[in-house]
Amino acid sequence: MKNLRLKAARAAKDLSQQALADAVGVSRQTINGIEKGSYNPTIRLCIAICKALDKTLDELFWEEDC
Amino acid sequence: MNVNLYHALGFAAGIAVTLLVFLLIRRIWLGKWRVRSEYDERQKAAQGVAFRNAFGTMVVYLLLGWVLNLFDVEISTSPLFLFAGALLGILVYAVSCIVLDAYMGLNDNPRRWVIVTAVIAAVNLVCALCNTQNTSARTANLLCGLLLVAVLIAFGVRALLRRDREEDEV
Repeated sequence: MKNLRLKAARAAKDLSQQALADAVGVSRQTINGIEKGSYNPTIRLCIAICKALDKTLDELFWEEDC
Repeated sequence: MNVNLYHALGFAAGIAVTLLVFLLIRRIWLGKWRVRSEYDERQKAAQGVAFRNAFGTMVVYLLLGWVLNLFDVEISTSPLFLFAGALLGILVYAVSCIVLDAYMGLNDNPRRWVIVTAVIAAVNLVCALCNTQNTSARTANLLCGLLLVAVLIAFGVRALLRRDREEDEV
């Protein structure tokens, strides 16, 4: 499932995938995979992304229909 | 000393010289004796998938050799057959990693890697062309050269495909 909230939060911060990837210490393809839903990140990476985007885990990764 | 001992000594000397040249290249280009590639969590997981692919391929290859051996096909018992199997496994691992974007580490320089790989491939292919006496060494050089060329082609194709998609992703 695509993570459109992550993409929106990144765009709101005016960050490219590469910039966010550099901020959290992963490759751009990893960020792209998370946004596309093809990669399920660990909780450690989720927290790093949340901190980089000033969001909570719920705001970026909680799926209401689960 | 017999010829086999000379051959073994020459082989060991060749490996030692290769390692020395490799370390010198790293030292000159990177300024450090040892630089470890860093991979993120997705890349490490993808490398696991690539390893599984390579292992499966080698198992199938060895089973094929076993079947050929049952039918008394000579090639299946030659050392080169096993060597080719190892190279096939490496090829599958490398191409799988490239396809899954897990070949280059976060701190690796693709341009340098391509140059070094191309040079090593060229050296192997030139050695294969020049060596007219030792058939097995010639074949080994040829296989190594072709392996590296195949990896370079896979890397180039992947880079081209990625470039087409990047505009939508950023």
